[in-house]
Amino acid sequence: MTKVLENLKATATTLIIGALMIIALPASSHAQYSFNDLYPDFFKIPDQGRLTVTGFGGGYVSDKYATTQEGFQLEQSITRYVGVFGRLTGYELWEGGGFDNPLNPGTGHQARLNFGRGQGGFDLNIWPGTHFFISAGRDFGDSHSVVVEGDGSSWLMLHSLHPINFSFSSVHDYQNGVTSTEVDIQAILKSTEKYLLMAGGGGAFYMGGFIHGTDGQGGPDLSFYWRPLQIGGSIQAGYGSAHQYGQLTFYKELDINEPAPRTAP
Amino acid sequence: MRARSDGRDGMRLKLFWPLLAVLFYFALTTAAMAQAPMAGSISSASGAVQIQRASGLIAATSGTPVNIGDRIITGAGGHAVITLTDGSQLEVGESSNMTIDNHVLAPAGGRAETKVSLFGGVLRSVVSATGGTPNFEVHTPNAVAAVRGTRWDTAYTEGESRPTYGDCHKFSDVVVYEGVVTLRNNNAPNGIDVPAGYEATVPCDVQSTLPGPIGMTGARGLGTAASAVGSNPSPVVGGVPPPACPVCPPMPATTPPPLPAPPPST
Repeated sequence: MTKVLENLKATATTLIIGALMIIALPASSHAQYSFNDLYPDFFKIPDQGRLTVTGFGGGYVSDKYATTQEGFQLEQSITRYVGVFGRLTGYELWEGGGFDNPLNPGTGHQARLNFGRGQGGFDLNIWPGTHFFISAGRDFGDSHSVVVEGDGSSWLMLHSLHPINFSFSSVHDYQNGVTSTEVDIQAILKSTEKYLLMAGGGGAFYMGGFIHGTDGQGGPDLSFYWRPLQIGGSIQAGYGSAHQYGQLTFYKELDINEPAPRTAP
Repeated sequence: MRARSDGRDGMRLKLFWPLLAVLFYFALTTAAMAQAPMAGSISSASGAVQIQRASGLIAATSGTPVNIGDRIITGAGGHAVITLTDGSQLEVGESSNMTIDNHVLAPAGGRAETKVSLFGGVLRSVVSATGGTPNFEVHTPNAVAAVRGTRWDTAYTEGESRPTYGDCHKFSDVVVYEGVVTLRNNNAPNGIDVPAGYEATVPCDVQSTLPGPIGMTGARGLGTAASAVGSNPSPVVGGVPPPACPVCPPMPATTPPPLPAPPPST
């Protein structure tokens, strides 16, 4: 019972801190606006909806373990400020020799673990350029955990030559009790008709469950976004609890504007 | 002698009427050209595209001349490309309404001045790089975009709401792909330079916003939805963190798991 409470406390703390950061940062620059200024047509459902399909993949390698992941996400807009999404991800996890199963400690070492994660939730566009995703789901395969996740992304100083993005992603695993949080801050170095180039730094920290205190890692990263194909990617390297690590992520977005309803002639 | 004179008179009489007809034709066409000099022609048109001029409304097809003063109107799904006489191109998006107010070539064939007004919709301008420094302006009801570059979109929308703009419901957007465009409000003496890769907006009667990267500030360009709050790229989506447990607890290799306690003896 105590463990469950600790897990819940850790999850709530992580999500609240992330949400507060996402809200507080842009709020400081929008303090002079009223609700109607910030959210015109808040309850209006637009005639033309949008379906966004995002495919993604990536990998992480360190001295102690490595993962790859791949999946896709479907998001349907409801209003200008709210969308609903579903995400399906496949994970492959390679453990270092002599280590226990991190998904379910106490069940012994396995060279490779494969599991999938299905989750769904809401995308809230709480400020212009700021999105907050909340979702919940369940693992299948070698993991059977229930997970809750909170993700956020906020573009600051959008009307400048070098806007800054702050993003975080926090997921709590109810099987091993660990809350994993990734944070990142990047600035746009160059914007052209074709591409965006960004650089910054980020990392991840882990707490709760079998982790005593907090573990983590961090390092500089470099990102790009190719506008014509809506393809983005990021590469990061650094050092942390798992010693040297490298991380690569990429994604492809596809926006489908749904046809507006025909009006009677 | 008299017979020769009669022959000459007859010849003159025969030449008189064709000559008069030719002169009349030239006079008419010159007068017409003086009223509405040709600015260019339609290179391609699809969907509902019409040209409104003094003589009435005509359907625009490929090759249709476009004169100074003509109003080009596209309906839903309509799209047209106008090639001006200096090689510059105007690409008119759907549901747009624009006029070519002025287009004067310099004597050497270069561009002296081009002025276009956009009353609604989206217009992409691809300005010919030949002919010296461009003097090319797109006017909207609340803004002027003056080009020192070669390719950019201008959009004007009325009646829509955008976050953080309060009660303002009319916006002029500029999206620059090549070169630099100076954007200013109609009443402002100086503008703001928008470089390639960036976009800016003139909301109502206030000065232009500072430029922000293309697709991220909510500005509208050719092919982008109006009032979309830009957020691309979205690092979170797809940037899934690795699974938990960077450091897994080592297996107790030498310590066997504790045996279950024996049942209590009765």
